[in-house]
This record gives sequence, structure tokens and C-alpha cells, in this order.
Amino acid sequence: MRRKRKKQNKFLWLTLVPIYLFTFLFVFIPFIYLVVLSFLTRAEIWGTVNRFTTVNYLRILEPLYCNTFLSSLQLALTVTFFIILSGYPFGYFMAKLPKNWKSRMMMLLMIPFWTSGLIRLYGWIIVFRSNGTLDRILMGLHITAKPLKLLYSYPAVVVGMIYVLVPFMILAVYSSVEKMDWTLVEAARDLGAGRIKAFITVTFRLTLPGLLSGVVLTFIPSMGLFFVADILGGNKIVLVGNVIQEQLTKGRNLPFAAALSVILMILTSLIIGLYRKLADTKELEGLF
Amino acid sequence: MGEIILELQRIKKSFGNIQVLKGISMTVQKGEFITFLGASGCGKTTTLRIVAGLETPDEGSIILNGEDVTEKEPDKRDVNTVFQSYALFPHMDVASNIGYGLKLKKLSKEIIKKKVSEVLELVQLEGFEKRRPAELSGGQKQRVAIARAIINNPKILLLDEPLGALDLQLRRQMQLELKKLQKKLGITFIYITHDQEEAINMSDRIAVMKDGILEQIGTPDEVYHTPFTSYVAKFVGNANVIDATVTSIEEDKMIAAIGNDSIAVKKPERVYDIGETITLAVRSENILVNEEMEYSLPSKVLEKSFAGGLLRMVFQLENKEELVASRHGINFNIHMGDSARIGWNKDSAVIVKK
Repeated sequence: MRRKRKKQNKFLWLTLVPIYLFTFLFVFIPFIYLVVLSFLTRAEIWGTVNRFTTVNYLRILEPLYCNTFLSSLQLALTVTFFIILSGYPFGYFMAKLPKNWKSRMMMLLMIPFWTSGLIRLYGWIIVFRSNGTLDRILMGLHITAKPLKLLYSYPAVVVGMIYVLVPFMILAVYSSVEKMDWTLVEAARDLGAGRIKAFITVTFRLTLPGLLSGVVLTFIPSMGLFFVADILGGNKIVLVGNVIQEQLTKGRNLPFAAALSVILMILTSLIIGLYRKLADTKELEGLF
Repeated sequence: MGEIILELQRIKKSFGNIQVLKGISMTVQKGEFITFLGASGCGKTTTLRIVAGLETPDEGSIILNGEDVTEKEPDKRDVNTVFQSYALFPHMDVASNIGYGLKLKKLSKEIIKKKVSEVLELVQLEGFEKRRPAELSGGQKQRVAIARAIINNPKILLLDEPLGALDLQLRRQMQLELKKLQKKLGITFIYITHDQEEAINMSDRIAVMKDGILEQIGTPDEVYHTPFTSYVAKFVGNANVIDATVTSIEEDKMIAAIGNDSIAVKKPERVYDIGETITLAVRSENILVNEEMEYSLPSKVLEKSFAGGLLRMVFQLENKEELVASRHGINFNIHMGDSARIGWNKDSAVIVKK
């Protein structure tokens, strides 16, 4: 038996070759290129000079860029917080809908993806601009007296980010609630837990991995979604993503953009590592 | 007997267009081991879930310990359930699973720990506190599920086919243990099964259900020996059920015709008219073959097989109806295709409702 299995293994690795090849060509090599680039010196007009330097990394420590990282982090935290608040209940109740309604909801959730995200964001400009849709509704209802000037503000960027990213949270939560064994909730109720207590100790606890993967799927992109900040934030809100994009295009400083990217990647890897640690521990003791 | 702990009054329940319970009324006495027996889909699990509060009846009421609990949430009822799938919390270890109910009652950690180890000893799982449900065998999970329920000292313990997933040997052992445990704790058990042997072995009383109706409630002895309906006779006693027509009533017996032949039945308490059709139930071990009998039926041997220490023979009557006879041991001088005369003692035929 054992021998047979070994024989099979001999050729099993062949099936993995395409995956490794793809990863090597399109992930590993570009990454190495990025790291190497980040240690090179910028040429005077365009391109790089092959001279080793750490100046790109030292420059990130300047308050201007440090603060950009911090404010990106803060925005990402704010966005993620609101995404959890809106996405978890959405995904939860969607998973509890009757079957035919579930697929209809899924359809509605998918339809926006058929249009470019950039174009959908322009839609928000119409909503947020002075005397735009939102202003007119609020003034029509006599809630506000004059235009709020929401476009090119922090709240506008937050709303835009939530809008772009919330489907990922909904889907992550939905799939984990869908897998729930509801007998466990019945068991909790039977043993004396009220609705809320049963939800916290059983349902929420068992769908936490879904929520956490939703957090990873939304927190990480929200640090780098530069086009949302561009379109809805004007020049007022600057994120790491914006700086990278600016350095790459207007600044023509490839090595510095690479260094910023490497740091951003390290940060996000740390977050994924933290997620793994949280999700892998079988019980989040002390959480309740 | 003792005091009444549970009363079900005309419970009705439908799911969509299907009426699952068609008016269940019964009482359960304190300390009793009562079993709901029936094929799948008969409504026994729904009845149990209604008692637990996991379903609300469309009509009728549930009186638990003198109090109407029909509208009460499951967490406000003094009953606990052992689920068919065990429903152990996968994210908690054995001790946390068992202590869940006590923790909700805000008992101190020391008391919970003490009670958990007591109840673990009761179900013979000492030292399993730190194990995860995923690391337990089926039988061990079963014990944890029972421990988690009885630690709360409920008025009634509800068990939904708790041994269904276990192999035969473990089942037998658990049957005995459960019965012992019930005696020891003095808790009322309401047990669900589709296995008549299990029901007969464990119960003080059996409630046989069919299509949302209680067919008969009685001691295992009553249900086995004097079934009310043909369904109970077949399901519990594996009895032969056959129609006959009353032809004459004598001093100590009633004569009925099956086809062109006659057969005797003990004189019933009720008066039957001549020509009335009756349904008879005769258990297979009471079918006599080629013996000296006053009344007997000619037949042909259709099948002869041996299983589980029993010889099983199928006879076909002249009107094409089939009857099954069984005997212990393997020696029986009869062969397939033979003609045989079969019959029964008048006392072993029971008149049942169709």
C-alpha cells in the first residue's frame, strides 16, 4: 500500500508546476524587481541609476510620509469599523433569507461589479457635490438649511471606500453564516441562553473567522485605494496609495515609489499574520 | 402513580400545507421513562421540539409542572434536550460545553468546575475536561451531550434518537446505561426512537405515533401483547395482520372466516355482528404449523430463511394473503413449495382497529 502511494507521488508534483511557474513569473520576480528597485538611486530626469542607496527608506521616516502612513491607517480603521457595522448584519440576514431570495440578493450584490468601479465612484460626485442629490434631499426635508459641501471631504472618502469594499465583507460573512449549524443555537437556547446571549456565545463566535477574513479583505485594500481619495477627496485626503501613484507619475521617482510599496506590503503582511494568529487559535479566550 | 409533570393538550402543528401533528393529547408522570415510537416523519421529533420550546404549536397547550409554558421561550423552560446530532459547541472544550448552562446561571467558577467533574464521573468520562468535541468518538460525544443536559437538573430530559448514530453493540450498552442513569437521577425522560426493541427495553410507557396521531400509549407489555391498531401490531410486535369475517359466536369463542376456511378468536368483550369484518393481529411466533388444531388454514410454503437465531417462514393462504411464522432454532421439517396447515390458539389472536 505504502509503496503504491509513493509511486503516485512521483508524478503528483507535475500537477503543481503550472501554479509554481505562474507564481514565480508573476509574483516572485516582480516582487524581487520591486525590492531591488527600492534600493536604487533616482536618475536625474527619468529612470534609475544602478547605485545602491538607502535614501528612499530614510525618506519615508520624514514626518510628511510617516503621517501619510498614519492617516492611511486611521482611515482604513475607520472604514473597516463601518464596514463591520454594516456588512456583518447584511451578510448575516442575507444568509438567513429563504433560498430564492438569497439568489436574488446575490444577484443585486453582483450587478454593480459589471460596471467599472471608477465610473460608479463618479456617481457619488453627483450625490455629494454642492446642491447635489444629497443636499437637495436634506434641504427638501428641512434637515439642513444650506449645502453641506460634502464633496472633497473626509466623510465622502469614507463613504466611497465603504461603498467599494463592503461587498467583500458581506460575502465573507455570508459564506460563514451559511455554513452555520443552527442546531447549535437551538442547543444554546435550550440550555438557558436568551437570543442575544446565544448569538454572542455561539453564532458570532462561530462566524468570527468569516468576519476576520472580511476584515482582511477590506482593511488591506482600504490603505491603498488611491482613486477613491482622488475622486471624492480632491487633494485634501492623501493616502499611501496616492503618494505611490504620485511618485510614480508626476514625481517620476521610481525607487521611492518602490520603497513605499515595500513598506506597505510589509505592513499588510503583518496584518495578515495577525489575522492568521487570531483565526488559528481555536478559542479566542477572554473575548467574551 | 405519581404526580403529573407534563401535559400536552390537543397539540396541532403544520409546516406549510402538511399537518405534522393532528391533535396530540397525553400526560407524563414524574420520574417516568416514556418513549415516542414511530417511523420517520410521524411527528415524534416535532412533538419533542414543541415540548422543548423550539417550535410553537398552532393549537393546543403544554402544561409543564402545573404551569402553562406554551408561549415560553426555550431558555425559560425547565427542560433540556439531547440532540440527535449531539450539537456540541465545536469552539469549546468538554468542560465548557457541559458547564455552559451553569455559566449562564452565573454560578461561580469553582462550583461549575466541581459539578462538571461530578457529572463527567457519572457518564464515565473522567479526565476529558480539556478535550475538544472534534477529538471525541461518537459514543463519547453522546455522553458529553447527556452530561451537558443533566447537569442543569431539568424537570424533563428530552432525548431525540440519541443512540441513532452509534453501532449496535454500543447502542445496547448505552441503552442499559441510560436506563440506569435515569433510575439514579429520578429525572423524567422523554425518549424518541424508531427502534421498537430499544423502546421495549428502556421504557416505562411507549407512545406509538403514526402520521401525527398517537395510536396507543401503554406499557411495553400492553403495546406488545394487546395492540389497539394494526399499525401498532405490525410496528411493535411484527405481527401478521389479516382480515376475517365473523360467522358465529359461541360461548367462549368467536368463529371468523378467512376465505373459505374458519378460524377461532377469543370471545371479545364487545359484541360483533355476524358478517362484520374484523382485523386480526397474530405475532409470528404464535402461528402454529401442522399441529393438531380445531381450526386451521390450508397454505403453501413460500419462503424459509434463517437469521438472528430465528427461522422465518412465509406461508401463502388460498386467498393469496401471506402470513409469517417464526421459530427458534434451525430444525423444522418443512420445505419451500410444501403444503401446510397453519393456525393459532384462539387466545393469541388480537382484534385490532384497521
